Amino acid sequence: MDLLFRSEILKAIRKYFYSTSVIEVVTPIIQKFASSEVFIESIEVKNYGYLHTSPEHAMKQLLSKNKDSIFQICSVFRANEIGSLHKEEFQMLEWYRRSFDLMKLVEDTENLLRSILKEITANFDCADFCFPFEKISYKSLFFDSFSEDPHTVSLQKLSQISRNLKIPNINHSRSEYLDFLFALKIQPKIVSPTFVLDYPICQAAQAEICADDKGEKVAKRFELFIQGVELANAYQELRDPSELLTRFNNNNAIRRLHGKKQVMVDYQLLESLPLMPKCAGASLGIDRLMKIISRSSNIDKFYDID
Amino acid sequence: MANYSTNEFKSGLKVMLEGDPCNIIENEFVKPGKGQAFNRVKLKNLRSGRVWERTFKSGETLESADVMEFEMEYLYNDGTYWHFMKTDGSYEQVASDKSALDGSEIWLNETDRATVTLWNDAPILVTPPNFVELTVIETDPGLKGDTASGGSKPATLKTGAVIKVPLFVNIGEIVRVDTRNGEYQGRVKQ
Repeated sequence: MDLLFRSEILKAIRKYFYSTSVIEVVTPIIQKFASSEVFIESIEVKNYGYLHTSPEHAMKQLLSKNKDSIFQICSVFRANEIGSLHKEEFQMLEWYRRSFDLMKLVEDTENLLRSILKEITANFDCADFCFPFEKISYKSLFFDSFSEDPHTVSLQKLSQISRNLKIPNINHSRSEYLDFLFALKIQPKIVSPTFVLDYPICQAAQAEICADDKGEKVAKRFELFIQGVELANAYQELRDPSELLTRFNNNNAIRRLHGKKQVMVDYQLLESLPLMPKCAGASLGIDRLMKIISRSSNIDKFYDID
Repeated sequence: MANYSTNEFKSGLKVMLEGDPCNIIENEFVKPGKGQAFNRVKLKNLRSGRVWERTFKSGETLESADVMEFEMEYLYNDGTYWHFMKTDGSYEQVASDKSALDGSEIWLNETDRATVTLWNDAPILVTPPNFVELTVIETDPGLKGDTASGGSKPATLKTGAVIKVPLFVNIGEIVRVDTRNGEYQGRVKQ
């Protein structure tokens, strides 16, 4: 693999953010708290804490103390994630834009990718992307595949659809059914770059919940898919600590159902949240970006040190 | 019997699924960003030859299948069973019925070696060598010297297989055939 490939992509990312007044930051890789996500397992460092699974909490604490928009490029670690698109250690770009809402961040993400491609196409053979990217709501995608509204469909109906598709029978929560159906039946069909917007509220993670134009409550979250690969994930950030605490506790309840260890709630984040300005933030997998741009079959080759 | 977890699944692993021994062809780890991980697995049912696609929750297990492959010498056919002998010095013999041969009997030449897959010591699959050399026992008379015209004609081989051969091939000649697609490869000098 050409060493310059990653280097030029990183350079292009930095050039974009530096030219739009976003400040590069570094946060500690070892954290006191494990990830609160139900299905993301932190790697423990005995006597020290955990390797971060994303710099999200630390960067939010920086946001609450400073006025700037910030970005970070770092390695993150997730136990047991190994596959053609997964590694237990991978490189992530994460950035937060002050005063942005979700749609402004969509535009920003698109500009970032346009700018990266422009910088590197001269020296590398790159896949062609069609700008502007498509934008579609989670609801319409789900409806196109299953003729059901993902926000209102009953758990029973979800279970029935999954059974017909031979999806393994486990004690699914609503969010798990939706994830399985989306990942198996919808995601592989999203080939051209597409922002999927407004997620079901059970998948809000740390996104704000707002009413959409039909008055339906949706999570202000987007994911960007290219060639069936999830490249970026973003939130219009939730700033209400009591709501976030409820979500953390819910996550722990689901972890318990799955026989997983509960994780300590990151009270430092909860304390700093009221000071965090209105903002939107995204994370993007750099290895996956390299895979897509170079039309490779997996992300392993970018780590080949032999 | 050992169990294998999804993270141990790899191509070539033999496992039991729905009562049949299967060979794993492909194992893909899928995980939505915040969602539960699962594995999309392609398996070949070794009894039917059919390829199955199944989704497993990551961490699920399958029982290993007692499936072994042996190189064996083909001995004879008694009308119902095809008899093979191990080549490891044990002279152990197994008899396979037609279902395990699944059409490959037309490539079995006595004393040739084939790969026999045993499940719980019984043959479930017989794979002939990729190339076999067989005598032509019936075909239209050859056109002498015609090695360039590119035409072809059917020829019956000693095992009963019918293949397409070039016009110059004659009865009694030995031809080399690719058993995977039944294509003529050339004449064998005697």
